[in-house]
This record gives sequence, structure tokens and C-alpha cells, in this order.
Amino acid sequence: MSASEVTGPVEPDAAEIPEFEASAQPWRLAFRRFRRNRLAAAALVLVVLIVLVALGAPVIERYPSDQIGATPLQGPTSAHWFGTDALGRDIWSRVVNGARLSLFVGVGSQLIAISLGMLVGSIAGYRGGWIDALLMRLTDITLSIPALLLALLFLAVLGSSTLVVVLAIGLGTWPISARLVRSQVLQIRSTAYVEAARIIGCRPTRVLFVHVLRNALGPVLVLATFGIPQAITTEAVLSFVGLGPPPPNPSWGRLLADSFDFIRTSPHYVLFPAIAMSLTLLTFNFVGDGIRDAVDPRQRS
Amino acid sequence: MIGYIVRRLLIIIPMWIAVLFVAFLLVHSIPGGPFDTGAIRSPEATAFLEERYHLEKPVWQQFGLYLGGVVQGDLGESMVRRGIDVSDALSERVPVSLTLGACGLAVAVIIGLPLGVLAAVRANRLLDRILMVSATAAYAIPSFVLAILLMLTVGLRLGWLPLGGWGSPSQAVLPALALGLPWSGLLARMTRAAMLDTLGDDHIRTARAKGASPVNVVLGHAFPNALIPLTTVIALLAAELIVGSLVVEQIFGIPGVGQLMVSSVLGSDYTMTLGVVVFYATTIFLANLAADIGYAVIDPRVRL
Repeated sequence: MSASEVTGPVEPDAAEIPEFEASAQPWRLAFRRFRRNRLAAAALVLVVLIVLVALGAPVIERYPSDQIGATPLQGPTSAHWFGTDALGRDIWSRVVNGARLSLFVGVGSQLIAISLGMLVGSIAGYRGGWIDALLMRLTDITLSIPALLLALLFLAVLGSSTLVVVLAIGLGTWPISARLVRSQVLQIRSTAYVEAARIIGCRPTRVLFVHVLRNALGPVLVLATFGIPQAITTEAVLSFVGLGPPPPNPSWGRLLADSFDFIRTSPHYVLFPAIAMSLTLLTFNFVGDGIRDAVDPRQRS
Repeated sequence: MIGYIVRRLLIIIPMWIAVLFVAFLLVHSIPGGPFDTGAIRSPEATAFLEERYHLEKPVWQQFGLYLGGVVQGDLGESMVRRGIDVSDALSERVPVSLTLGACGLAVAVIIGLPLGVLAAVRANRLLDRILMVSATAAYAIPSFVLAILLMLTVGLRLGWLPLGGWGSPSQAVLPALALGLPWSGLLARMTRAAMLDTLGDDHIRTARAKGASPVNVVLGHAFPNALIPLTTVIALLAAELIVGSLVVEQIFGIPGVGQLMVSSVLGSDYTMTLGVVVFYATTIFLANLAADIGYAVIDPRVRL
């Protein structure tokens, strides 16, 4: 809506219009706040870069990640930027491909966790009553078992493959988002605009999806941004104990597990995957911090 | 007070049983029984083994028998290492994990609390910014990665501390740092928030007005009040650290409960895995109970 379109007997105060426009677009406002946080903005650039590396791994890798044959356990050279591993595979190529698998597990498991959490949380919060009580006890029970233990047990039951790892981590972390969504739904459900939507005759599903859930997306996005690095870590730990995605897929966890045996003799082998992982976890957390401050400025401490 | 504790227990005990049941179901659905070793065994021998571990009974009955044992401190016998009681194996390893967890907690508290207070005092100044960015960074790097980085730098490059093993105090330093540092970041942030909350209170303004020294205002008047919400966090953190030691134990080769968990899952040792999960679940529930009760005991404003 621009000022020239507004006609009628009462001319609105011109100064009010931009403010009204801004309040109609909370996401644009949030993005503006986010951009002002220089650390978070820089971290976002790095996250995008890491995602691009992961997506472009087949182009960026300099050798097939499972090609053996070079002198094993070389230090960094111009032919092998990060050196080679015990089988003479190029560590740069393996780290780049590791980004692909680690990010896939991180994002995939969080998609599962968030969708399941939104489903359970919104039903519990919107319906209330015994359904709410039942679903919340279920989340409490799942929350009482540490996500890592749950994932370990799931993998032991289902056997290990990349998809099972994604599923196991997702199933271990959904209760957190279920609780968050439920509390958001409870808050939003009682606002005047939701009541208005109900009064003008919107169907319950429309009220829930369009009016309630859409306004709960901010905190959910924050949760997902923090959830991805945690899922990447969980996958790494699972790989480290030998329950991660099976070879030849190199996740960062498997790279760390493989290289750990050579930590005394070839520290560079451990160092590069460790740095890649730390950098990724750091940037995701700083982006998460930035989004949290931007989405809900009142929470800012 | 006693009524409150009883009420909490009435909520917590059914939850604890439910968690045990979920774990029991999961462990029992692990494919490949512990006796599928490929050894040729007569049907009579198989029947004997199944009867001995109650495997022929329906699951709910098995769970009932198991729960009865757990209440009496009997977690059954290892299914892989014949003749070893799960409770004995656990009691050997629990002290190790508890010690490691306590050291980690000490690291988190000793680093996190003072830095949090310092950040709150200098709120929104440069020092505060630096401290909070470092806190986020510390929290972002999990124990798993930190352990490897510490090994590479302090252990290998500088050669100051041993890379693994357990027994001497010097061997506990790196694991404790790896376990505690990430949580010190979280604690620093929470301490800062709690301090800022109390620093805005009326009684702080009164203390300042009557001329109390700045140090006295911060440490004598504000800090004790800020500690109230933090005790809950610290109690829950204790459980987190004992469970989180799984990773650190694995990396530094520490013979704790976490190592037992991993080896029993990989070796499909049903009873051992379940025993470890029981230990973890019980630890978490006790920590929750301690947090609830501690909150009520410390804060006289909480009316039960």
C-alpha cells in the first residue's frame, strides 16, 4: 500500500504509513535487524559458503574421495592440499565430501524433528484436554532419554544406513520442538486476531495453519538453526563409535574416527576434519544467535 | 516440604518406569539375539538359555520381572560375558564417570560463574561483548570436537598432558576441560542474564543508595539472588555431564559407564545395555528431583 493509493475523506498522517507498512512485514524487519548484527551476518555468509561446498562437492573435490594409490599419510602438498590418509586418499576431497553427508544428516534430521514436533505440538496445544496430556507425557518420556542414547538404541534396532542415522537423530530430538510449538500455539491461540479469524468462520485447519502456526515459525527457525549443528555432532559421535553411515561415505565423524588412530604420527589428518567441523558448528551457532535476536528483539538480553 | 517431595515423587516414579519400559522395548527389538553367535546348540540348550533369561515369556511379563529386579538393585547377568553381574560391572564404572562428571562440572562452574558476573557488571561494554562471543563459541564446540582439538594442541604439540588413560590427576585434566568448557559458555550466559535481572531490583538500588561498595553490591547483594535460578541449571547440568561423558570416555579411553554403553550396544549385550540406560535414566530423574527440591529449599519466597 503506497500513500498515493490511499484516498477518502480522512487523509492519513503521511508519517504513519511507512511504519504501518513495516509492521505488516515482520520478516523483512527481522532480516534488517539480523543484517545489523555483523558477526551473525558474516557467519551467515560462511554458512552459505559451506553449503555451497557441500552441494558442489563433485566439482570441488580434486580426486574421487575413495580413490586410493597416492603415498599414504603425506602432509599437505600442492597436489594434496590437506595431505593423504592411511590408504593414500586425498583428505581435501574427503573433507569436502564429508560436508555433504554431515550437512545432509544435520538438515534432514532437523526436518524430521521439526515436522514431527510441529505436528505433535500443534495438536496438543490446539486441541488441549486429554490429547494434550497424553502427547505431552509422551514428549516428557522421550526427553528423559538423552538424544544420543536414543539414537544409539535406534541404530542398534534398525541397523546402520545414512537414512536410519537421519531418522534416529530426528526421532531423538523432536520433543524439544513439540514443546516449543505447543507453548507458542497456546500463546497465539488466545490472541484477538485468532479469535477474529474463528468468528468470521475460518475452518479450524485454516486457523491453525494460516493464523497460528505461521506466527510460531520464528522460534521454530531458531530451534532448527541450533539443532543442525547438534545433529551434525551427534552423527559424528555415532560414526566415531562405529554406528554412523557405513563406508565408503565419508562423514566428518567417520573421518575423525579413521584419523584418530593416527593422531600421534600424522596430526594433520585429524586436524583438517576437526577444523572443518568446528568452523561449521561455530558459524551455525552464531547465525542462530543472530536469528534469535532478530526474530524476537524483546528476548534480547 | 515433605508433602511437596512426596508429590514430586508421585509424578516422577511413573515417568521413570515409563522411560525404563521404552528402553526395555527398544533393547528387546534389537535384531540378532545375543545367542545367535553361529555356534551349533541343541534345542535343549537353547531352551535352557531362553528360560534362564526369561526370553520365552511375553514382553510385559519380562518387563515386570526386570523391574522387580531393578528395585532390588539386581540388573541381571551380562548376556555376553557369562557370570558377570550387570550391577557389579556398573558399580565398578560408575565412580569413574561420576568423578569425571564432577571434574567437568567444576570446570564449568569455576569458569562460567565468574565470567558471567564480570560480563553482567560490564554489560554492553567491549569486555561484555568479547566474553559473550567467546561464551557462544565455547558452547558451539561440543566436547567431542574439543577433546580432539585439546589432544592435538595441549597433548601433542605442547606435550604438557597425557593423551589418555585414567588413574592419575594429570590424566583427568584434558577430559575434564573437554567436558566442562562447552557448558561453562552456557553457564556464563545464564549467569549474566540472572545477574542483570537482579541488578535491576529495588533492593540493589537501596544497597547502592545507602553507600555499599560496588564490590559488595555485586557479590554480597546481587550474586546470592542470581544464584537461585542457577542452582537449578547446575543440578540439571550435573546429569548432562554424566551422560555426556560417554563421548569423552570413548576418546580418552576412560573406563567409565559410557564406554560400557558403547561396547554393550555393539556386542548386543541386552542386559548390560539396559542396565546402563537404567543408570542414565535414574541419574537424570534424581537430578531433576534435586533441582526441584533445591529450588524450594534455597528460595524462601517459593511457597509449597
